Amino acid sequence: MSDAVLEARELSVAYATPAGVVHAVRGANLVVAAGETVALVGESGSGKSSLAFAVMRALDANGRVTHGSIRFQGDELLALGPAALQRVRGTRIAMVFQDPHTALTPTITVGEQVAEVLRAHAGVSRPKARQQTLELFAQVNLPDAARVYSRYPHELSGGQQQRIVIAMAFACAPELLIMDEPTTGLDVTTEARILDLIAEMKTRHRPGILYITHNLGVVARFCDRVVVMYAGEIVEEGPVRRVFDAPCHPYTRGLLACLPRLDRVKHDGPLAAIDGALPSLLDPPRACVFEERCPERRPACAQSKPVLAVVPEGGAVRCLRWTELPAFRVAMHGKGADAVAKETGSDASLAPPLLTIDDLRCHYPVRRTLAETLRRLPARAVRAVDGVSLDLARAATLAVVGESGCGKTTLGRAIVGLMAPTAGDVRFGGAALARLARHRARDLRRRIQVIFQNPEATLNPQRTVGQALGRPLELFGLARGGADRDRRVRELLAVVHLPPHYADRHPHELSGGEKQRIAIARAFAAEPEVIVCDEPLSALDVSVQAAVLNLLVDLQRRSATAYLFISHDLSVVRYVSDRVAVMYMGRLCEEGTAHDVFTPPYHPYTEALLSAIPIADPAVRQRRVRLDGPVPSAVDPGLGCRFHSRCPRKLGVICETTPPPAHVAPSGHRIWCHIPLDDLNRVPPVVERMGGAPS
Amino acid sequence: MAVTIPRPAAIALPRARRWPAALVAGVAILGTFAIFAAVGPWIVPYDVEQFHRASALEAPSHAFWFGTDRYGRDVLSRVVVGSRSTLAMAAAGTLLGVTVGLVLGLGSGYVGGRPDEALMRIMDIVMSFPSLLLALLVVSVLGASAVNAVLSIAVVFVPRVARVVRSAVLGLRTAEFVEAAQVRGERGSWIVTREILPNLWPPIIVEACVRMSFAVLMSVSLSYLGLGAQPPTPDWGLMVAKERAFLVQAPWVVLFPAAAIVTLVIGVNVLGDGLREWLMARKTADE
Repeated sequence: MSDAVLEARELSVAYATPAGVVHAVRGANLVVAAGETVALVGESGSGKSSLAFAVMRALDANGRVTHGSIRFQGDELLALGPAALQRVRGTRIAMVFQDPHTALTPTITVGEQVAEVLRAHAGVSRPKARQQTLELFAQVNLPDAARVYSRYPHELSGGQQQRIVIAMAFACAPELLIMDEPTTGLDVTTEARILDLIAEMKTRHRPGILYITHNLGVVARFCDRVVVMYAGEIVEEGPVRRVFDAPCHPYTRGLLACLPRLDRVKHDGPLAAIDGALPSLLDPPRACVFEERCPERRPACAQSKPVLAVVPEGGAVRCLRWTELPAFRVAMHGKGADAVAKETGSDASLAPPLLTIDDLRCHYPVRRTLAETLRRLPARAVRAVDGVSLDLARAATLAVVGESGCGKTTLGRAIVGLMAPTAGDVRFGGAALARLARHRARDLRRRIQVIFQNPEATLNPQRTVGQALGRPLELFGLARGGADRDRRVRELLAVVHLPPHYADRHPHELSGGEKQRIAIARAFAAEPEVIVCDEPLSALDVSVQAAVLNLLVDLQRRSATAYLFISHDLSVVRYVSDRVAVMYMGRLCEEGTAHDVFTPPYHPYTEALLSAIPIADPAVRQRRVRLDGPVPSAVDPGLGCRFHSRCPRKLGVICETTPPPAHVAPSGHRIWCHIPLDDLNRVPPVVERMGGAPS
Repeated sequence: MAVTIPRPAAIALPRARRWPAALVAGVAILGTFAIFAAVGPWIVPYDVEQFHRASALEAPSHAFWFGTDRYGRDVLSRVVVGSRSTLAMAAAGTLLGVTVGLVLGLGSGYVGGRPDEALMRIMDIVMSFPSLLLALLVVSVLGASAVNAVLSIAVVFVPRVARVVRSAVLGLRTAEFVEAAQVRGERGSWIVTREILPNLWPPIIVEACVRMSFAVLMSVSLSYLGLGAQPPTPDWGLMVAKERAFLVQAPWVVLFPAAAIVTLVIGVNVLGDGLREWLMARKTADE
């Protein structure tokens, strides 16, 4: 390939750690052609970031390229000295990192930072650099470029900061751009805009892009080729369309199959999870790396290392048996009539709700400035939750979705009694709950449990799994004596599919997915009736996510526990929930059965969310709805609709001054919007499959 | 496109050590002094209070390795046995100060709000006095003795330890496992002792080592000023104070106790560094 910008051959990277040498990347071949966008996909520990950092010659101090070559425009990068390397980096190769906050210097205005890059690398004069910077800011759609030029990073939102970083990366018209999860920390609506921007900048400047991500939806949206890594080796590569439609490697197939999709719900059956865990990279398998976890393995797979075989439709795959595998089909589209009936049926129950949230408000006071105190101005408050009413039925799942700062987590914390609401009630079985958990009766505390987001922090590092699970049993009097408790702990471990000897382990001996299973077991130990799940999956890898999601669904079916499922991931929400509430800035926008919320009529915000989510299927088309600007401050948000400042369907002044009325459908579907229901009904669906919609 | 994966061969990479050198050196130095303190009187060549009037102020020799002082007492014996009073005062002061500081820091950090605010302001006031001045104040109020020197060291340490512990507690108080305990309705005392305290040992151990090296310096300073150990106890600070008149004439009478002080202080500091490194390495290896 003559037009290759980047060509890595037989690249191996290793790290020295206290436990030994970690072989993070082994024998990777990677080519990025000019103007091509190559996605490097893998879960944590796959070596994708190590590979990218090796290309940038920016490995950590304990890492080395142990083998292979990296050619950039034909020149060997590994042979360059520090000075020559510095000339290449920044000018001809640029990088965009995940966290824009750390990529920008906090003490210099963003305009100066970009101008500095131009002056240092392109030798542009000071006034010219300013001029070019302003042009770049306009290109990345920063409103009022001249004003942004003299802002410091902390004065800008995360999305704006990432625009600056992208402007900086494109400043010297690099030939190669390496992007490491550039949208991972951002909200979906912001992510969608940044991805649009990268796609636009790409057509304008045509650099080769190496795009590192774990999100297959992003890959499907705008990459040309995809390279799939697993445990330090490239297992499959090829054009995006071919890899998504006809993946050859069992791991790629597993990844695609385990993703929750908008057209799959829990009544369709469990997700296809990948069992097992990543092999140790201290002593990587000599044969196929995926053999241990592969559903298609044969004895031969453990004997020899498969070579990269060329796939006629494009790309290559490293599997012994790829020609023998059956055609790939995701068991999905086609929610059976049965499933739809179940979905609506569970809602038709007339039983009184188990948990009722009635006009709940949680306001955080903002500390007054000295001037405000002296002028005796009243203290202002962040209205994190501002008048939310919801019902949660027994054995059902109510999902609360929204972007960061919408108040969904605060809502969950108020329900479990971790923070006292300012006004309003949470009623359980008809009786109002005390505001804080420590004032609630022991039996009520037992019946409402919580599962947190971060598996690393959810278990006390100094206590064993057995102690963590045994404590609620003791506290709530669910076990008689030590022997009974130990027996129950073993039962709980079995329920979450972990062997009994895990009771003696400490959290640091467990993987992220295993820790989250223990957290689930701890919640279920109390035999609760309601569990608040606060983003229980978002810190997990996709293959692990599917297994944990299956577990949650299965446990609910067996124990008739109700979930309040807080999430920002609409695909997961679609899969798991019976009812969905969409929150924006402390208020509800829309609430109803999952089916009602995901089909028209939509609230304009729901519509934008559905348009923004990355869907891992190149055949799916999403109607383009983009939101301008960041989420505004929740301090004194005004009287009108909270969404009016970003709403693409805003009617006029009425949206700013009058609280929106609720349109209530007979099915219980509620939309808070000034737009008449008839007009909302005429809005076409956002997500459609090309070549025939699912029945 | 047949491609062979290079076998991960033996690669020349720097191997991370399991036992930091600083930890080994620190344990060795402190351990030596601890042994001296424990069995000193039985291993030294001469009784510490035995006068050899014929050989007063004798230079280091085969008979007296570190020489003798003005009464002809063996300096080596006095330095070895003297580690007892210094180590005992420093260790007792550190233990007392860290314990009280730990309790205050735990309570203050967990309860938070106004009590925390009030306690921390009091600590600020105590900390605004220079350490030695505060210790002198305490001793001059209570009277000069080894026990009061220990108390004064503890008084100086309490606010500093309380600060360190409090900030660690603040970090843990919002950890999800603590919130999970709150949702279960655990009592505050249970959360503090079972969920928070076990996670505080690494910073507390490191802090105790840092405090210990200060405690050594303070105890010898107090003894030097005549406010700690009283004669005829063999004590390094006391030895330097009493013999300093002979500094020019017979430098060994001051040099060896001073060298012992320096060695012990360095040893404790190195131990603290080593512990910090070791505890951190263990943490990263876990992840």
